[in-house]
Amino acid sequence: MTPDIMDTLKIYAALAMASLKARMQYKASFFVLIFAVTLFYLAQLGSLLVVIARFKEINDWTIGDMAFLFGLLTFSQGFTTLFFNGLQNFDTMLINGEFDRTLVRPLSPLAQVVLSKFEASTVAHSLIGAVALYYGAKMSGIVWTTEKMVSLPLVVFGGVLIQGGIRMFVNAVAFWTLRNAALVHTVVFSGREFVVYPITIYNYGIRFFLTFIFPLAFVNFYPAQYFLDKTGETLFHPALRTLTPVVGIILFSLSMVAWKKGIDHYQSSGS
Amino acid sequence: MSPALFFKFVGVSFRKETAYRFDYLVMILNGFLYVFIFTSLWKTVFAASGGGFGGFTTAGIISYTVVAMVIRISFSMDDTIIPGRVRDGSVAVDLIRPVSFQMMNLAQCVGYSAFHLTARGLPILLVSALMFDLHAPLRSLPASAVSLVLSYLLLFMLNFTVSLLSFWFVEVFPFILLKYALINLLAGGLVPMDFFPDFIRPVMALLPFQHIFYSPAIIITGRVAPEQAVGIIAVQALWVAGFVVLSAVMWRAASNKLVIQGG
Amino acid sequence: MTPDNGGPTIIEAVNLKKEFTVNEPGKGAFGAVKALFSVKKMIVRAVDGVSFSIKQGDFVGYVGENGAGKSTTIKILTGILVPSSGVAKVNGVVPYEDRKKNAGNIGVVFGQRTQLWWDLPVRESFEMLKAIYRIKQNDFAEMMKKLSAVLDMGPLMDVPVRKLSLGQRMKCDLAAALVHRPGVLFLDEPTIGLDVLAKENIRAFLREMNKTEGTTIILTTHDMNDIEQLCERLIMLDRGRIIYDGLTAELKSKFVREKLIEVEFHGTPPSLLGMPELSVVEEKGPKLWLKFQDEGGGIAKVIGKLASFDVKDISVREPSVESIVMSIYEKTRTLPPYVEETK
Repeated sequence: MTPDIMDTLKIYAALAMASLKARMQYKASFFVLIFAVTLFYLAQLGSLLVVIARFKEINDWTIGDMAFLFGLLTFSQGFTTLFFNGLQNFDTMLINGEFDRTLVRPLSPLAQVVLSKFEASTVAHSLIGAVALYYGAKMSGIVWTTEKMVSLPLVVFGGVLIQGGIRMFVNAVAFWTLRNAALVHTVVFSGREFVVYPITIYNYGIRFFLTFIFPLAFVNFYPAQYFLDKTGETLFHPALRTLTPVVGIILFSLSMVAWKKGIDHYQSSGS
Repeated sequence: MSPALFFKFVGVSFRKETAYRFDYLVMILNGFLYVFIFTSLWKTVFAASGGGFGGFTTAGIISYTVVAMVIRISFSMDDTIIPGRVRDGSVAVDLIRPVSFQMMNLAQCVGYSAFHLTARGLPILLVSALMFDLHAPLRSLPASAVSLVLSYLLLFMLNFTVSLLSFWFVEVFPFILLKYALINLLAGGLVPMDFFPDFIRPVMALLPFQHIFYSPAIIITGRVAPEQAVGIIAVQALWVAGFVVLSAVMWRAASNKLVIQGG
Repeated sequence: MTPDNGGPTIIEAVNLKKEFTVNEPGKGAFGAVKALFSVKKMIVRAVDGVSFSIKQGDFVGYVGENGAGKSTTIKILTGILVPSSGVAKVNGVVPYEDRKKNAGNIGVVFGQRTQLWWDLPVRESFEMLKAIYRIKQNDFAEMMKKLSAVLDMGPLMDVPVRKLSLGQRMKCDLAAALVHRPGVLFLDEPTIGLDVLAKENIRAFLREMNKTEGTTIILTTHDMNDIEQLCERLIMLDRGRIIYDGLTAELKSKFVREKLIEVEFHGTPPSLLGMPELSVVEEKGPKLWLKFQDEGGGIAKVIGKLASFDVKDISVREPSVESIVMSIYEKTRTLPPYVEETK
């Protein structure tokens, strides 16, 4: 059993390497993409900074707090995009029959899709995120205890699982509707806009939604409350601040189930 | 190009968009998301600073947010058409046709935008009107109409000229991304110019971006009176004229390149 | 009668059926907007009771017009689709229930889409396949040597797939489908777009694999020359049902007794009023092409009669499989959906 798993992992690693090698054939566009993504984020950050500069704080979240919040989100988003880039344009893969090939191979179709593209330039997200995290932490004067230092990678890991799981979920929809580009864009890009700001600015309904239904708030908001030692604004329950990795595992498992259901549906209804 | 032919292209573009009903529902949702996020944000910070800021009342900023968002949605244009056609070479067909390439593109964009206006912009406007207290003074109507037309043309030509870069650069995506970055930051689609730090505003006034969403939005919501609007409209017209020249020059260069190099 | 080479049954299809529900598009501008809110659905029976059994070592042509259901059947056999009813087994495995196991036993080539890694050298694709199919090093090396020799892939191994010509790519795709020694090979339009020489090479290779390795091959194609040259057995599909399942060779004798006579006269072709059994298909200068319904060896008499005219050259041809197949389809157009199944 275990040699089987080892073999499978080796195959996955080989697939990822193949995608990476293929990508690196186009070195110029690699750097261009990094440049473009950086610029795009700086513009977004710029908007945010403008608002902060004018208003000084948003619900007691200072500029340092906001930078940390933004950084946590963007940093984990970088890793998410790194690993789950293969899902991009999944609906095209379904429509032109490329997905069929994954069914004809003795390997998990999901793994093959996810690993079909390994876009190293997404490291740009993480670089920007790291810078924002650093300055945010400094400006807010976070005290880095051992506990906090250990928690940070766990939180990032959980954040990747949450965002990755969401992307998998949203792409699984393509099995039923065939075209999901707009949905992916909305959920992945517009969805993140919600948590660029502390969710305390929203009404109860939205906060509930972002916590229990579409748990993006666990990617950066709740962990940020923990790191920044935010007192006085407990939403729902104080324990939520520590639950990011757990939420990540649950969500990711659910999305794998959704994916399997999607494949079942594809196999019974064709395209 | 005859008006009849123009509207034929518009119709085809419009019809194309109606094919994907799931997408359309999702895109309405997308628009609402942003309205929601930003009205929540402004309400929060305005409450903290006493109900008024940067010349806006709370009601005023909410009106601005909704109007700017509806404009943004209605001004949707498909950026991928020209680069796609250059990449697969089918742009050669467009050159053979006895119609102005730019007018044809404009017609396609109008069709596309018309769909997004009716299918997405209007529903969002209607629901927002029910949820919030929106201001749009009637006497600003003529100025608003003129400003909207100009800003549409401005956005169209900005997109057009950037898309033309695909004739020279295989990877035109970074330029498009750069354009979007600048528009997102400087066009006032979400954050009005008044909130920007004072030292930057004169610089931004020299750029065309704020005339895409900010200018029409402040005229429509009555943030500036119709009398002041005339000045803004004049600047818009100047930018449009400038871009007309720029796009004509670029198009000449682009089509020459195609003819000489054969794509 | 299907050829009996004595091998075990390797593919079994029993009363396969597959239905799809399809959205009806709206008509006109108003219909398009209406379609945004409500949609009418129709049921399409792509496969309507298909049964056959294929023995190990068979070389079967699977033919049908677009939409006849052949891609759907292949997709069921390769594990991509689940049938609405009926059973299919490939090498003892039910493809849609045991997908991975089945995948290990089969090779598939989709004519228009490569399975190779587009940006990487050919060699790397094979390394990937070695990992994916868990091929042992010895078997891998041996198979690569053989495939490389027969298909002449040596010079291609270090070339990125995107730089290969269509013919070269097809050779590599064939090798890729066989490198793990599957018992069954499914080919979907493998010779499409290839020039004559490339087609011949591919055909020779397939014949070789079928003979020496005993690979069972299912070939779907529109190219009737492929069928004629490669497939002992032919299964014809029309609107989801099998209308012919038997020896390709028998197709000619069973269905059509037409012969085509090409005559070249010394001068202008004479009128053939005295020979009502002949019909003129075409006329070009001194040449005539004539059709003759051969109901029982009358061809000799016909030739004799023709020769009495001022003939320069005569040749007799049997109609191609293509024309036979076409006329069969034409016939079925006027018949009720189900036509006799021959065994």
